[in-house]
Amino acid sequence: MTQGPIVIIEDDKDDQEVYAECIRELGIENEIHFFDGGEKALDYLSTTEEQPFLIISDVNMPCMTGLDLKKRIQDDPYLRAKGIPFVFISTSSNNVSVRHAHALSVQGYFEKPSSMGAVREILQTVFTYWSLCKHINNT
Amino acid sequence: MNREGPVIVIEDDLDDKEMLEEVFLKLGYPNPLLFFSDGQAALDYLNSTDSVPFLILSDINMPRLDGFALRDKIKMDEKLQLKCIPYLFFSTASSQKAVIEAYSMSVQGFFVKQNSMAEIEKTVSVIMEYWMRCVAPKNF
Repeated sequence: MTQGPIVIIEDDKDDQEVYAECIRELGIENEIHFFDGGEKALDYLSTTEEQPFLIISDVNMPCMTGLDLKKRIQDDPYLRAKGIPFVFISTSSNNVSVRHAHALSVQGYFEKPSSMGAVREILQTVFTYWSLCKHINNT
Repeated sequence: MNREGPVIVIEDDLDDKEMLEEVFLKLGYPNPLLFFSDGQAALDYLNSTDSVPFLILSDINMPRLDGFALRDKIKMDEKLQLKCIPYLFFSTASSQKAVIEAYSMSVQGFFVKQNSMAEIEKTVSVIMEYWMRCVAPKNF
């Protein structure tokens, strides 16, 4: 699979654990960086020398929503040039959020399922797609 | 994005067009497949139709309007923006420069056009599976 850490922004600790377990079960060895909020994720993205493989973000989060986070990345020339694919996985799939996300050029929007097996399936789909894609890390 | 909408392919090479037609036929997706041989023709269609496409697969190097320029025009158009159509590059041109530029404009994917039918089949099925799973906006 394409190199680079996977960045996950998710305020719910249980969901973080589910992600971690599913990703390991899929045999994916990329490092995972968890952030429970947008600000911390932005700090990392703005200062790291790493080139993450992918950003997976929740939508509904306190302080900074996933949509605000995506907008901050879009509006920042440095972060935009880093060109890290950004995908939402969220229980919130109301029309307004989905449209807003598309307007911000999100690269995928998935409804977060309740079962672990279904989460694993979605992650499999996401990683298969972005690994097959030409990516800044695999040119 | 409309899961039942047409897949728009912008491709100026006849052989590549035929391979894609064959692949889509074999994979049996119900979506109509609409081909355009250049970006301007695709844009004219998008501006004149009421239908909401499923996604756009675009080559990069094309006459009249290339893949980047087409993407820009769609992004700038309010009416087209409301259709939320994923825009993917499907091209032999995959220089680091093109990839960096593509992702800095947040395209929804960048796939290399392979030579074998089997590889193209795999690419198309990965693409279709991904976007079929995505949440689509309701009511256009």
